[in-house]
Amino acid sequence: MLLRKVDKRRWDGIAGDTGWVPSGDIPAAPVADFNTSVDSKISVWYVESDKSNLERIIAGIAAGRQTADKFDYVLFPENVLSQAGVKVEDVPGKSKDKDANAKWHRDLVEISATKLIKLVELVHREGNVVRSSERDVIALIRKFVDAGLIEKRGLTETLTKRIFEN
Amino acid sequence: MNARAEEFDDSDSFSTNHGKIIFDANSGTAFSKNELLTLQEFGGPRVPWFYESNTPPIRPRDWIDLGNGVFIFSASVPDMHQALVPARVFTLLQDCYVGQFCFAVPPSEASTLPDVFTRPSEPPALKLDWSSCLAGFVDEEIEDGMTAALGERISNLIRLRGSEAIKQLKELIASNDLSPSVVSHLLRWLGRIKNAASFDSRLKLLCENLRSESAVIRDGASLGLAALGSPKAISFLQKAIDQEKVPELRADMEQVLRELQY
Repeated sequence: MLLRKVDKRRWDGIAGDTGWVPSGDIPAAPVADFNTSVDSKISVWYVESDKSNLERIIAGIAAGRQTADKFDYVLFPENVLSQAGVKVEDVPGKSKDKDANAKWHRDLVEISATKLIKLVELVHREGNVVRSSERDVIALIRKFVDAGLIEKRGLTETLTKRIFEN
Repeated sequence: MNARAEEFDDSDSFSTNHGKIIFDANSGTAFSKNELLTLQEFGGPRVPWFYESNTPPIRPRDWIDLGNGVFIFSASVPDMHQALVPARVFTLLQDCYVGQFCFAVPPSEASTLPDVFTRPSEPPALKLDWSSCLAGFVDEEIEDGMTAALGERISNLIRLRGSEAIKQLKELIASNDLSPSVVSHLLRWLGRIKNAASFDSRLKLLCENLRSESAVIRDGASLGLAALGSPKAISFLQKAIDQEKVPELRADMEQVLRELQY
C-alpha cells in the first residue's frame, strides 16, 4: 500500500452533496491533495501490507509539524500506479524519522496532468481515507521519541510542549 | 555581581538598576555584548536587551497596547526574552502572568517599571484583536499542524479578553468573512487553550458550531471539543452525530465521542 497525507473533508464529496457530479466522475476537491512539486513529483510513503510501519510513518511526518493536529491520510494499493501509468522512485523522505525516510519514502514521478487526474480518480475509488486523531498523533510521536527513532530536539518548541507537558 | 554583569556595567546605556534586574533573572546565562540591542529605535529610552545570536529582534509589532498605560510584550518573542524581561516585572506580575511568552503590566504597577514599558514615545503598532490574530492566515486552506503562531495569538487574546473575545469570534464566524478552513483551525485552538475563565464560553461556541452549514466548520468544532476534552460536550456531540448527513464526518465525530467517553 501507499500513503498520501490528505485533508479528509476533501474526500467527503463536497459535504455529502455529490448530486451534481456526472456518473463515473468524481469531485475535483481530492485533486488538491495530490498537488505536485514543481518538477511534477508527488511524495508518498510505502506501507507494509500488515501496516507494521504505518504508525512510524505517521509519527515521523507529524513530528515535522509546528504543533499537534489530527493526521488525515489515504491508503491505496500500489497497482493503482500501473493503472494510471505512473512511475515510482525510491527517494529519501523528509520526515523526522530518518530510518523511515530511507526505507519507506517514494516519489511518484513524471506526472502529467492526465495521469494526475487518472491517479486521483483511482485513489478515490480504491483508496481508504483515514484519520488519526490529535490525541493519537501525540501518543505516536511520544512513543517514537521515547524509542529513539525521532529526535526530541528536532521538534518545535510548541509541539514539544503539546506532547510532553500535557 | 558576576563577570558578565560587570561587563554590562561598562555600558553607558545600562543602569546598575536594570543590570541587577536582568541578572537576578539570568544568573549564569551567557550573553555576548556584541549581541546587545536597544529599544531606542522604538522611541523608548536606551534599555539594553541581549539576544542569542539565533533569535530575532524585538519589533514594534511585538508591543501590544492594552489601554490605560498597560502593555504586553508578547507574540513571537523567543524563550530568551522571558528571562530578559526584568525579573522585577515578573515578580510583580505573577498573578497577571498570561502566557509563557506574555507579560502583562497592570496600571497599578506601571509606575514601578522602566519607562520603556509604559511610555513609548510612539504608539504601539499592534492592537490585540482577531484581525491581528488572523494576520497571515487568510488563505483559503491552512495546513494541519502548521498553525503554531495562530494558536499563540489566539491563546493570548482569549486569556486577556476572555468571553468578550469569544463573543467577537462568534460574530466573525457568523459574518462568513472567514474561510471554513480558517474557522476550523480557530475552533481547534479554542479547544486547545488552557484557560479556565473562558472555558464555558469556548465550550458553548464549539457546540454551536456543530450546527454550522459547513461540514469543514462542523469538523473543526468537533475537533475543538476533542481537544477541550470535556464530558460536558458529549450530549451536544451525540445530537450532532444523530443529525450529521455526511457519513465520513459522522464517523469522525463518533471517534471524538469515543475519546470523550473514555
